[in-house]
Amino acid sequence: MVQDNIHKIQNRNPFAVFAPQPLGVAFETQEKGEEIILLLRAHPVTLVPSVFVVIILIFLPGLILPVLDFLNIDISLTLAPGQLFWLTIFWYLFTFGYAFYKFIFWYFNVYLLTNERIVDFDFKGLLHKETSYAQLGQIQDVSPKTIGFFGTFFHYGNVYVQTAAERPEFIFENVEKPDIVAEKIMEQVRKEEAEKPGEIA
Amino acid sequence: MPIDDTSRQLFMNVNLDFWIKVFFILFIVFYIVFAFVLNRQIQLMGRALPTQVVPVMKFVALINIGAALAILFIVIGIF
Repeated sequence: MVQDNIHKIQNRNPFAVFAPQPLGVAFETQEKGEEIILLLRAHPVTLVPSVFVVIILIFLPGLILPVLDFLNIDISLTLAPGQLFWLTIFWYLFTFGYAFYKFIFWYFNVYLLTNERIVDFDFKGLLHKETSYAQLGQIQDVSPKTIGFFGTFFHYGNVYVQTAAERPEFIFENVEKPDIVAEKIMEQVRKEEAEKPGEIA
Repeated sequence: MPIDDTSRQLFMNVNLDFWIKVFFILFIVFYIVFAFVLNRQIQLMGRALPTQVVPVMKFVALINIGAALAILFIVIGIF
Protein backbone atom coordinates (compact mmCIF):
# COMPACT_ATOMS: atom_id res chain seq x y z
CA MET A 1 0.00 0.00 0.00
CA VAL A 2 2.66 2.51 1.06
CA GLN A 3 4.82 1.35 -1.84
CA ASP A 4 2.00 2.17 -4.28
CA ASN A 5 1.28 5.57 -2.79
CA ILE A 6 4.92 6.57 -2.70
CA HIS A 7 4.82 7.50 -6.40
CA LYS A 8 2.06 10.05 -5.78
CA ILE A 9 3.51 11.73 -2.71
CA GLN A 10 5.58 14.89 -3.04
CA ASN A 11 7.30 15.84 0.16
CA ARG A 12 7.52 19.50 1.16
CA ASN A 13 8.91 19.00 4.65
CA PRO A 14 12.56 20.18 4.62
CA PHE A 15 13.32 18.06 7.72
CA ALA A 16 11.71 14.86 6.44
CA VAL A 17 13.55 11.62 7.16
CA PHE A 18 11.73 9.66 4.46
CA ALA A 19 10.87 12.00 1.61
CA PRO A 20 9.58 10.66 -1.69
CA GLN A 21 10.04 13.20 -4.53
CA PRO A 22 11.22 15.98 -2.18
CA LEU A 23 10.33 19.49 -3.36
CA GLY A 24 12.95 22.23 -3.31
CA VAL A 25 15.86 19.80 -3.06
CA ALA A 26 18.61 19.46 -5.64
CA PHE A 27 22.22 18.37 -5.46
CA GLU A 28 25.45 19.67 -6.89
CA THR A 29 26.10 17.03 -9.55
CA GLN A 30 22.49 16.44 -10.54
CA GLU A 31 22.21 15.82 -14.26
CA LYS A 32 19.57 17.19 -16.58
CA GLY A 33 16.50 14.98 -16.37
CA GLU A 34 17.72 13.27 -13.21
CA GLU A 35 15.01 13.21 -10.57
CA ILE A 36 15.24 12.54 -6.86
CA ILE A 37 12.98 9.58 -6.14
CA LEU A 38 13.70 9.31 -2.43
CA LEU A 39 15.56 11.39 0.13
CA LEU A 40 16.53 9.72 3.39
CA ARG A 41 17.99 10.81 6.70
CA ALA A 42 18.63 8.98 9.94
CA HIS A 43 15.51 8.41 12.03
CA PRO A 44 14.89 11.17 14.66
CA VAL A 45 15.15 8.54 17.42
CA THR A 46 18.90 8.43 16.71
CA LEU A 47 19.04 12.05 17.92
CA VAL A 48 17.76 11.16 21.39
CA PRO A 49 21.24 10.68 23.01
CA SER A 50 22.32 14.11 21.72
CA VAL A 51 19.10 15.66 23.02
CA PHE A 52 19.84 14.17 26.45
CA VAL A 53 23.35 15.63 26.41
CA VAL A 54 21.94 19.05 25.47
CA ILE A 55 19.39 18.86 28.30
CA ILE A 56 22.19 18.00 30.77
CA LEU A 57 24.30 20.89 29.44
CA ILE A 58 21.34 23.27 29.87
CA PHE A 59 20.75 22.30 33.49
CA LEU A 60 24.40 21.87 34.49
CA PRO A 61 25.04 25.50 35.63
CA GLY A 62 21.98 25.23 37.89
CA LEU A 63 23.39 22.04 39.41
CA ILE A 64 26.95 23.31 39.86
CA LEU A 65 26.06 26.11 42.30
CA PRO A 66 24.38 23.82 44.90
CA VAL A 67 27.29 21.37 44.56
CA LEU A 68 29.80 24.16 45.22
CA ASP A 69 27.69 25.30 48.18
CA PHE A 70 27.70 21.75 49.50
CA LEU A 71 31.50 21.65 49.22
CA ASN A 72 31.70 25.03 51.00
CA ILE A 73 33.23 26.71 47.99
CA ASP A 74 32.14 30.31 47.59
CA ILE A 75 32.50 31.06 43.91
CA SER A 76 31.70 34.75 44.49
CA LEU A 77 35.11 35.10 46.19
CA THR A 78 36.83 34.06 42.98
CA LEU A 79 34.58 35.51 40.29
CA ALA A 80 32.78 38.83 40.19
CA PRO A 81 29.04 38.71 39.34
CA GLY A 82 29.78 40.17 35.90
CA GLN A 83 32.35 37.49 35.20
CA LEU A 84 29.97 34.80 36.38
CA PHE A 85 27.27 36.20 34.12
CA TRP A 86 29.46 36.12 31.01
CA LEU A 87 30.74 32.67 31.91
CA THR A 88 27.13 31.47 32.03
CA ILE A 89 26.30 33.24 28.75
CA PHE A 90 29.27 31.54 27.11
CA TRP A 91 28.24 28.19 28.55
CA TYR A 92 24.87 28.52 26.86
CA LEU A 93 26.49 29.62 23.61
CA PHE A 94 28.65 26.50 23.80
CA THR A 95 25.54 24.40 24.46
CA PHE A 96 23.84 25.98 21.48
CA GLY A 97 26.96 25.32 19.35
CA TYR A 98 26.94 21.66 20.34
CA ALA A 99 23.22 21.30 19.59
CA PHE A 100 23.61 23.13 16.27
CA TYR A 101 26.56 20.92 15.29
CA LYS A 102 24.59 17.77 16.08
CA PHE A 103 21.65 19.07 14.07
CA ILE A 104 23.84 19.98 11.06
CA PHE A 105 25.48 16.56 11.31
CA TRP A 106 22.07 14.90 11.16
CA TYR A 107 20.60 17.22 8.52
CA PHE A 108 23.40 16.84 5.97
CA ASN A 109 23.84 13.08 6.35
CA VAL A 110 21.57 12.39 3.45
CA TYR A 111 21.01 9.42 1.18
CA LEU A 112 19.42 9.97 -2.21
CA LEU A 113 17.88 7.61 -4.66
CA THR A 114 17.49 9.15 -8.09
CA ASN A 115 16.29 7.64 -11.35
CA GLU A 116 19.97 7.20 -12.31
CA ARG A 117 21.99 6.46 -9.16
CA ILE A 118 22.25 6.40 -5.41
CA VAL A 119 24.07 9.22 -3.64
CA ASP A 120 25.50 9.15 -0.14
CA PHE A 121 26.34 12.48 1.52
CA ASP A 122 28.48 11.66 4.53
CA PHE A 123 29.22 14.26 7.15
CA LYS A 124 31.21 12.17 9.59
CA GLY A 125 32.71 14.94 11.65
CA LEU A 126 33.58 18.58 11.64
CA LEU A 127 36.44 18.05 9.18
CA HIS A 128 35.21 14.98 7.33
CA LYS A 129 32.85 15.32 4.39
CA GLU A 130 32.41 12.65 1.77
CA THR A 131 30.06 12.18 -1.17
CA SER A 132 29.78 8.84 -2.95
CA TYR A 133 27.79 7.84 -6.01
CA ALA A 134 26.87 4.52 -7.59
CA GLN A 135 24.96 4.16 -10.84
CA LEU A 136 21.82 2.02 -10.57
CA GLY A 137 23.29 -0.31 -13.20
CA GLN A 138 26.20 -1.04 -10.84
CA ILE A 139 23.99 -2.14 -7.95
CA GLN A 140 24.28 -5.87 -7.36
CA ASP A 141 22.44 -6.53 -4.14
CA VAL A 142 20.29 -4.63 -1.65
CA SER A 143 19.51 -5.92 1.81
CA PRO A 144 17.54 -4.12 4.53
CA LYS A 145 18.31 -4.90 8.15
CA THR A 146 16.38 -3.89 11.26
CA ILE A 147 18.14 -4.65 14.51
CA GLY A 148 17.29 -4.02 18.14
CA PHE A 149 14.37 -2.87 20.20
CA PHE A 150 14.31 0.74 19.00
CA GLY A 151 14.80 -0.27 15.36
CA THR A 152 11.89 -2.69 15.52
CA PHE A 153 9.69 -0.39 17.57
CA PHE A 154 10.24 2.75 15.47
CA HIS A 155 10.69 0.85 12.20
CA TYR A 156 14.12 1.98 11.13
CA GLY A 157 17.34 0.21 10.24
CA ASN A 158 20.20 -0.06 7.78
CA VAL A 159 20.04 -0.74 4.08
CA TYR A 160 23.16 -2.43 2.69
CA VAL A 161 23.74 -1.82 -1.01
CA GLN A 162 26.45 -3.88 -2.71
CA THR A 163 27.77 -2.26 -5.85
CA ALA A 164 30.30 -2.76 -8.61
CA ALA A 165 31.24 0.94 -8.23
CA GLU A 166 34.46 2.29 -6.73
CA ARG A 167 32.89 1.97 -3.30
CA PRO A 168 31.76 -1.64 -3.01
CA GLU A 169 29.21 -1.11 -0.25
CA PHE A 170 26.86 1.73 0.57
CA ILE A 171 25.16 1.68 3.95
CA PHE A 172 22.07 3.79 4.43
CA GLU A 173 22.25 3.99 8.21
CA ASN A 174 19.23 4.15 10.52
CA VAL A 175 16.79 5.05 7.76
CA GLU A 176 13.05 4.80 8.20
CA LYS A 177 11.24 1.87 6.54
CA PRO A 178 14.39 0.07 5.35
CA ASP A 179 12.36 -2.66 3.61
CA ILE A 180 10.50 -0.10 1.49
CA VAL A 181 13.76 1.72 0.74
CA ALA A 182 15.33 -1.54 -0.49
CA GLU A 183 12.27 -2.25 -2.61
CA LYS A 184 12.37 1.25 -4.13
CA ILE A 185 16.05 0.86 -4.98
CA MET A 186 15.45 -2.51 -6.65
CA GLU A 187 12.49 -1.08 -8.53
CA GLN A 188 14.67 1.72 -9.91
CA VAL A 189 17.41 -0.78 -10.76
CA ARG A 190 14.91 -2.84 -12.77
CA LYS A 191 13.67 0.30 -14.57
CA GLU A 192 17.26 1.29 -15.32
CA GLU A 193 18.01 -2.15 -16.73
CA ALA A 194 15.03 -1.84 -19.06
CA GLU A 195 16.31 1.50 -20.42
CA LYS A 196 18.63 1.92 -23.38
CA PRO A 197 22.25 2.66 -22.41
CA GLY A 198 22.77 6.37 -21.70
CA GLU A 199 19.05 7.14 -21.54
CA ILE A 200 17.92 9.31 -18.63
CA ALA A 201 14.31 8.62 -17.76
CA MET B 1 56.32 24.61 55.05
CA PRO B 2 55.40 28.27 55.72
CA ILE B 3 57.20 29.21 52.52
CA ASP B 4 55.16 26.65 50.60
CA ASP B 5 51.91 27.98 52.06
CA THR B 6 52.87 31.55 51.37
CA SER B 7 53.85 30.87 47.81
CA ARG B 8 50.67 28.92 47.19
CA GLN B 9 48.59 31.71 48.69
CA LEU B 10 50.45 34.28 46.64
CA PHE B 11 49.85 32.22 43.52
CA MET B 12 46.16 31.85 44.35
CA ASN B 13 45.63 35.51 45.20
CA VAL B 14 47.69 37.12 42.50
CA ASN B 15 47.26 34.70 39.62
CA LEU B 16 43.88 33.00 39.96
CA ASP B 17 42.05 35.83 38.21
CA PHE B 18 44.70 35.84 35.53
CA TRP B 19 44.52 32.08 34.92
CA ILE B 20 40.73 32.06 34.86
CA LYS B 21 40.86 34.79 32.26
CA VAL B 22 43.49 32.95 30.20
CA PHE B 23 41.59 29.64 30.23
CA PHE B 24 38.31 31.35 29.50
CA ILE B 25 39.77 33.29 26.58
CA LEU B 26 41.47 30.16 25.21
CA PHE B 27 38.21 28.26 25.45
CA ILE B 28 36.35 31.02 23.60
CA VAL B 29 39.07 31.17 20.92
CA PHE B 30 38.70 27.41 20.37
CA TYR B 31 34.95 27.86 20.19
CA ILE B 32 35.36 30.63 17.60
CA VAL B 33 37.55 28.33 15.47
CA PHE B 34 34.87 25.62 15.83
CA ALA B 35 32.17 28.14 14.82
CA PHE B 36 34.14 29.18 11.72
CA VAL B 37 34.69 25.55 10.68
CA LEU B 38 30.99 24.82 11.22
CA ASN B 39 30.09 27.83 9.10
CA ARG B 40 32.40 26.64 6.33
CA GLN B 41 30.94 23.14 6.49
CA ILE B 42 27.43 24.55 6.14
CA GLN B 43 28.55 26.55 3.10
CA LEU B 44 30.11 23.47 1.48
CA MET B 45 27.28 21.09 2.30
CA GLY B 46 24.75 23.74 1.31
CA ARG B 47 26.46 23.90 -2.08
CA ALA B 48 26.43 20.11 -2.41
CA LEU B 49 22.82 19.78 -1.27
CA PRO B 50 20.94 23.08 -1.52
CA THR B 51 17.60 23.10 0.31
CA GLN B 52 15.25 25.82 1.58
CA VAL B 53 16.72 25.56 5.07
CA VAL B 54 20.36 26.17 4.10
CA PRO B 55 20.11 30.02 4.04
CA VAL B 56 18.64 29.94 7.58
CA MET B 57 21.47 27.67 8.73
CA LYS B 58 24.07 29.99 7.20
CA PHE B 59 22.47 32.91 9.03
CA VAL B 60 22.42 31.03 12.35
CA ALA B 61 26.07 30.02 11.85
CA LEU B 62 27.02 33.68 11.31
CA ILE B 63 25.08 34.75 14.42
CA ASN B 64 26.94 32.03 16.33
CA ILE B 65 30.32 33.40 15.19
CA GLY B 66 29.21 36.97 15.97
CA ALA B 67 28.04 36.04 19.46
CA ALA B 68 31.28 34.17 20.20
CA LEU B 69 33.39 37.12 19.00
CA ALA B 70 31.27 39.54 21.07
CA ILE B 71 31.77 37.42 24.20
CA LEU B 72 35.51 37.24 23.52
CA PHE B 73 35.79 41.05 23.35
CA ILE B 74 33.61 41.52 26.42
CA VAL B 75 35.67 38.98 28.39
CA ILE B 76 38.94 40.64 27.35
CA GLY B 77 37.43 43.95 28.46
CA ILE B 78 35.83 43.09 31.81
CA PHE B 79 37.80 40.19 33.20
